[in-house]
This record gives sequence, C-alpha cells and structure tokens, in this order.
Amino acid sequence: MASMVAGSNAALTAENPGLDKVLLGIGWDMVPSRGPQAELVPMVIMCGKDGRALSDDHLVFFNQIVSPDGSISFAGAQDQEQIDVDLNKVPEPVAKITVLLYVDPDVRGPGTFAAVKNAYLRVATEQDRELLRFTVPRGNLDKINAMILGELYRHAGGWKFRALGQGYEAGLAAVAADFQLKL
Amino acid sequence: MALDRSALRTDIGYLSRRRKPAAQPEPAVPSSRSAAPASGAAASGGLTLGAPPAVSGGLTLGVRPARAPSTSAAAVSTRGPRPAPAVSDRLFPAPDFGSLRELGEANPVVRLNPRQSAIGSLLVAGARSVAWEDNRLTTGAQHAEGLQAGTPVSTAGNRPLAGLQDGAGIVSLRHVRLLRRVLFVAGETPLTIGVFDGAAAAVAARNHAGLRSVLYVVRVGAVLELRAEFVPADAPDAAIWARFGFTMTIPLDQRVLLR
Repeated sequence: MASMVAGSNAALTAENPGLDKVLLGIGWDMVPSRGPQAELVPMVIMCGKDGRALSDDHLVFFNQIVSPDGSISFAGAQDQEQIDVDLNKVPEPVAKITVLLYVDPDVRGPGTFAAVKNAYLRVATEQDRELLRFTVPRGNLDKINAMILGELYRHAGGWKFRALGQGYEAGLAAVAADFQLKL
Repeated sequence: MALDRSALRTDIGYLSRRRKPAAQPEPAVPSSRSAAPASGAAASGGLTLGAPPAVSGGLTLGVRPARAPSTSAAAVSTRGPRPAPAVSDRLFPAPDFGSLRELGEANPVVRLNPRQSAIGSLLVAGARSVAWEDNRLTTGAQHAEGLQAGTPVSTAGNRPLAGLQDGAGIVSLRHVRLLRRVLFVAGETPLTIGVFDGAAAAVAARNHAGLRSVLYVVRVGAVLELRAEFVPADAPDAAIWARFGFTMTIPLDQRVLLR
C-alpha cells in the first residue's frame, strides 16, 4: 500500500498486471454537531478527452448508482462509500474517471468542509487489497464545499491514478460548470 | 479485514443498492464458460429453477440451446453489474421538470430526473401547510402558523426530511430515499417549485373553478413526480390530508421504544 500526496500519480495497471477491476473506497469523519450538519456526498464523473462529462447520465452517485454501461457502480460495504470500477468495461470515449465529494447544497445551512476531520480515497483490488491511499491534507477547508479527491485516467493503454485534493469554494455549481453537467 | 461482499450497508438508510454476489474466487483469466458442464447438460444462459434441464420436471425459465464451450471474447463471464434499466422504460411518459412553466388541469404532472430528485432541496414557496410520509409510513404535517401534527422525520444531517421554514416548504433531497410522498397545500399565492439546477414551475393558488391547488409529490424509485390537484377551497387542511390518505402517526417517545 502506498500513500499518495496531492498531485502525485501512480501507474495502476502497469504496476499491477492483470488488474481489471478496482474498488474505490471513500471515507471521512465529521465533527459531531447537534445542529444542521454538512452532509458529504461522493460522486463519480466519467469524462471524455476534453475533460468534460460525457453526458448527465455519466455521473454516478447515491441516486444514480450505476453508469449507463454498467462499468461503475456504487456498492457499499466498508468505508463510507465503495465504488466498483470494471476497467475493461469502461467505454473507450471515457478518458478519465473523476472522484469527488461535495457538500449537499441544502438551503437550510449546507455547511462546508470545515467540519470534516479527515477524508480519504483509497484504491484497492476487487478483493479489497489496498493499493493506494490518498488522505486529504489538513488545511483551511472552511470555504471548501466540494473537492475532487482523485482521478483514474487512461495512459499508454492502461490506467493511472492521480491524487488531487482540489477544493471548490462555489460548490457543486462550480463542479457542474467545470464538467459541463446540468446539476 | 476481510471484505464481506454479501452484506448490504444497513448503517446508511438512504442507500438502495444492488446486493453483491457472494464472494467467489475469480479466475485470473475469464474462462467460466470454457469449462464444459460435467453432465453434458445444456448450458443455461438464464435462470433455472428445479432439476437440471435434461431431466427437469420443474419450472425452467430462459433455457437456451446448448452452447459449445468457447474461450472467445464473447464467452467472457457476464457476472458483475448490469446497466440499470432506464427509468423511462419503467414509467409512463411525463414531461421533464423544467419543460413546463405552469402545472394545471391541462398539464398536471412533471417528473424530476434522478439528479434533480437528489441534490439540495425541493423548495415550494406559497404553501400554507405540508404533510409528509416516509418510507416507514411515518406521517406528519406542519402548518405555516406553526401548528404540527403527527411525527416529524429527522435526517442524519439534523434537518427535517420535510417541513416549512420561512414561509416555504422544503424537502431534504439528500435523503430522498427516505421519502414516500409529500403534500403541499397552497395558501393564497401561487405555489412555486424550484430545485438546485434552477428548473422551476408554478401552480396557481386556485383553478378556474375556484378550487384550491395542492401539490402532490411522490417518489417513484429514484425520481420524484409532481402532480397538481385541486380540492374545495374551504376544506380544512386536516380534511385535505385525510383525502389524500395521510393518517398522522402518533409520535412515540424513544424511551418507551427502548423498554
């Protein structure tokens, strides 16, 4: 298992021959609150070569739990969320699979990542043997309300993983604008 | 720690996921079809109930003709997630939310997509009361004047699943999977409905016959449907809730439940 820092990447399939399915585990801890609390939601966006979402349907989250092609599905067993990715079934037009967390934009005080004690994204084999782990560095997250944790992307006929930890201050609306999604 | 893939997440109530198949050793090279059946029976591509097909006296569903063992790419195991059937395949046609500016007797129904149904809040301005029913049939209601009936439903984010705040009805869409249905009763101003992506629609407070408008919201799988209905203008809210089958549940003190 290798720990990653923001911006680093790893040759996922080149270093793990035969790896055709990966499990993405996402977890976080929040500071408990008696009042309205920020609610984090994991989301996966399937992007083309231009970095934009292929379509609004190429987005996987808790209310749309399987991609149109069936290559990505929310499964759930450990962590807060687990996502199965069948790399062989990912359609050719998909160049990148972006994994992010957003704070649900409830009109009654949505909150920010300020209440997040820690958050991580880990990449494991189908059998849950951990390969990579990225823990979001602790910093000033008071204004952050969406964050790209990392991405799987095609490279030289295989797949690589890049840790990011890129925060947004304009929340899901900014994510939607970046990926040209209608959210 | 070993991964228990046969177990569903029961600690998060909003999830509705496929049940993973029981953990089975996966061969390094997909060759599950390459092994010839020991009995020489036909390889079934579908669900088979009862005895093997060759001697079956029971019900057999979807038996296909015997297939020659193959190691071709087409014979790769089909285990794993299947594409979700499109929602549109299972629901009657209805306009998308955002395609109609006004709901009324001519166009009473719109349907939200799974993203509109699950991000942020469903905001309904102009409502004088709201009644809700969750997936456990817990039912409650709130009036704009502050009166409450039945049982409130709280979510993991410490917000009510549905309620009124600052003169507007609000449904927490993060927890849409907890919701069964909601009823908003119009006051004296039009009901205006909005979601996170900016799509919106309105319902006049009264129709041409002077009947009062109500907005009935029901969850169908992953999507919400909105329907404008009309009730006698002078009907009290409790009668309207009853007319739509909302029977208030009695809130139980948790201490009683723990005994």
